[in-house]
Amino acid sequence: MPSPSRLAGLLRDGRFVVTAELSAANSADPEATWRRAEVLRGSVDAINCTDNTGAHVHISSLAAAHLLVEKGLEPIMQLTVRDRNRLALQADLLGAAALGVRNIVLMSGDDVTAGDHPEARRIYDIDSMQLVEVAAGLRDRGTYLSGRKLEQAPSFFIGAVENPFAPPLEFRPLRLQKKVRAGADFIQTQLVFDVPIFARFMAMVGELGLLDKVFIIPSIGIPRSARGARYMKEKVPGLHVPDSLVDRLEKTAAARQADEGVRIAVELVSAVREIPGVAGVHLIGIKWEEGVVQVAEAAGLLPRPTFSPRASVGGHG
Amino acid sequence: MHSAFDRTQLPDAVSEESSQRAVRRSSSERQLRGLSGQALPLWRDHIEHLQKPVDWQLQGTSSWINLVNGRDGVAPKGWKPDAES
Repeated sequence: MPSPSRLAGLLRDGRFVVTAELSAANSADPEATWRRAEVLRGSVDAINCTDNTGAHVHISSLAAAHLLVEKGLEPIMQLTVRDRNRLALQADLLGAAALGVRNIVLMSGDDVTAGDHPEARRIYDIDSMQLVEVAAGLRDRGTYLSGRKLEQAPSFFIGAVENPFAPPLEFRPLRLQKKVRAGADFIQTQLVFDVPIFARFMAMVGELGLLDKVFIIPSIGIPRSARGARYMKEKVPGLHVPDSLVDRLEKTAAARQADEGVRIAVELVSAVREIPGVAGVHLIGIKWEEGVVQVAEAAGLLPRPTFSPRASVGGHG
Repeated sequence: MHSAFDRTQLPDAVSEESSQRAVRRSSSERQLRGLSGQALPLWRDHIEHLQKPVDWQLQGTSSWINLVNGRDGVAPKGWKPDAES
């Protein structure tokens, strides 16, 4: 079997990890994916390959993840239940493992109405929690959902997502607990712009005794412009962007808004890093990998560890 | 007004208006549900239960008959959410 998850090793070693989202290419040329990914090399520990993010078609997460493996970069393959039934999901998971993908993040996916194919049929044969359990079954029991045995079980570091800002807020930790019980090893959250609410979420997660069972990695967005921040505030469901943040960017001259966005992201990284249980940050610069590098540097997250920590997968530690 | 209609009393009483959300979230009196079992809803067990995948073969059949004969309780053979890993 190819090498196991380095991300898992870093987290189990207690390192504060940095992951980032790769802007998915709209190109059949692998160079388009590699060009963006190379920007992130050395600045992050692993790179998320999105699965038709925002319900817009892009290169498949499986293909993008494999392209990263080819270049020695560690991918985190996202997989949604929106576009595939249980056969296709398991086939892609097994195929990803065979291609060297070790980290996966399993999620529902944005509804098709959010994208450019709103007329498409939603699949949702199983839900995201069930997919976590199915992936754990492939890994831990070496069986498909049907019960049929695999010849070789995959070794996945299983991730899921959670939104601390979606009401009812008090139920989100319970939902997270359910994902942990299903087999999630790490969680990447929705974008955190409101730190007090996120801190309260983490406190509730701690009270449920989950902080020693799962690694929680909040997502930090890097707003590039006031317009972008306002769009996120008004148009993106499940996202809470405080007025003060939008105001701050709108009061900044257009030419300096990107720099101000980096400063905001750095402040957010510093703030969430103080919250007990936060195991790292997931940086998202929408179509702006250079912004990720700027934030990583300004937040003191560089250099990233170059060693390969003890390597194993499955379970929290 | 019945409390059920007073959205501020409900656990999911978060307004569509973010400015109002911020006010409500800053309220110190509001009890945090989900903490130490306090004020948790009666249906907590249902929230924690991991549902088995839907059997689409049952689409179009009688849910009452499936309930009586136990057909709706059948899970895929590989579905073992409580299995030790």
